[in-house]
Amino acid sequence: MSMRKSYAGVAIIAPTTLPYARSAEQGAAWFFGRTLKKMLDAVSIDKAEIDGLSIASFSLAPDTVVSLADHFCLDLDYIEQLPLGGASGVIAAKRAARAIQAGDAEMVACIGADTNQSDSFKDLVSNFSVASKKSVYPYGAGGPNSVFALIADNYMRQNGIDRRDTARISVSQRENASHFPHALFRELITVDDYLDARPIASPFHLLDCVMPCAGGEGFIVTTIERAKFLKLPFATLLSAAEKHNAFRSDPVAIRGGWSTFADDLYNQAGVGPADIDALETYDDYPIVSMLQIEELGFCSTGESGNFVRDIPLTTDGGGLPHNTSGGQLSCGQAGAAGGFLGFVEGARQVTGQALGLQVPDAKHVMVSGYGMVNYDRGVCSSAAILGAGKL
Amino acid sequence: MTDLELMKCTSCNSFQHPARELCGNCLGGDLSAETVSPEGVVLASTQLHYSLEKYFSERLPWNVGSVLLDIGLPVIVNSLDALIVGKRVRVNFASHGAEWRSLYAEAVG
Repeated sequence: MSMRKSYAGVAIIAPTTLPYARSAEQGAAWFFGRTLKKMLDAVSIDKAEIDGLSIASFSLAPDTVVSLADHFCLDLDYIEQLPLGGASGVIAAKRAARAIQAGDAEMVACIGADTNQSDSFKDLVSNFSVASKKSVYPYGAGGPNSVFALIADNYMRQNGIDRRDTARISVSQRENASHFPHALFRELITVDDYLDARPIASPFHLLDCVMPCAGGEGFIVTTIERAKFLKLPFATLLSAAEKHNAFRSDPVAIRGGWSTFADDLYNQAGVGPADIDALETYDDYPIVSMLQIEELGFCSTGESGNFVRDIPLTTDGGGLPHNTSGGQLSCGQAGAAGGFLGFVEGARQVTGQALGLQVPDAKHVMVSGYGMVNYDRGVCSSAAILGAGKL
Repeated sequence: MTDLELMKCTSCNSFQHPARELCGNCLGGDLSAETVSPEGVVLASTQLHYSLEKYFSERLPWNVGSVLLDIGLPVIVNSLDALIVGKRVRVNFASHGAEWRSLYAEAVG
């Protein structure tokens, strides 16, 4: 069992979504600054009170978190930039929590944001890493679709899962999104819509894929003391973990890294899978959410197909509310903001501040992340359990 | 089809793919090209109906797969024919008119 110390005393406040746009003229800094502004306004905190900034972005380069500190006239004691894509939201919170506990900072703004200018997605995909530039791009130049299609083809074949099963993730999330004001796609879809959508990279069709877009997601990590003083609803961090580059010997990735820490995550939080009131997974593809459902202990190994067949996944379906804002499959993928979306929605749910359907009396929300294909798999996995803070 | 050449660590003899600056196993700094058996088995396959690159988008649907080489190394490959999981293939670098060279798989026998 892990010897990880508690995250006691840490509060997460101001979960904020800057509405997404399919494309944008503005640069990434605009989305960071506007997300920060919206976040501060929501809780009536002055910019001068922010003494820490932790960010994730794909389109900010060559600027960095340092450029943002200068641009936004912030005087900071703690800055961090996480090149962790879909795993970045949980990890930003986890590390900011440690800075708060150590007294290195008192109020850390954590933001994932990206723009989506013309050709920026192609530029991102073709230059994602040295390995991907030399060794993935020349294989069809399908972006992450081709790598994840291979992972999905293998996982579905090994576990007897077909597209009617994976459809359940997309269809239920769209139902959740129909109540969420910031989702780019809010119209309901059926299993047949999913099956009949145009093929992209077998087994994926269009409704397996996320729409690249621009936007921002963020939250503030501070002390419970401060949150109470400000009379702000807050989430607590009951447990959090990250794992990078696990299970290298799987010739085709059939696991992320979540199963390496799932038991510790539950033990540290003092709860089990049955106590989780909502689950926010990283849904770059439905099959990736199913990997998380399996590895985080909601079903046994290889049983995610049966799980999604048996358990309702809509926010008000009486099963396991999953990706309650519609996830990236419905909201769009605003670059690294996609790695914050689940955490922000989880923090809203556990503080009773849902913008769409609220999970009644949500006490424990699990959030998981997955990021960064280098060659043939995502390298970074993360997860956290959020608790409901009491004012 | 000629023999397949991959980079091998001169210290611990680990093969490296994709190409690396140094050995991922022992961090040895010297790699040399080594001829290996080009055969392996298809582990997973996909047909792309979309590509960001003109070369491929003119040739859709495009076949991509994962092949476990007999030397124990998994590699991503292109293929001019549909790849069938479980079938044996032979893999080698080729360009087939593209500006770059990449691994292609073709059925054995």
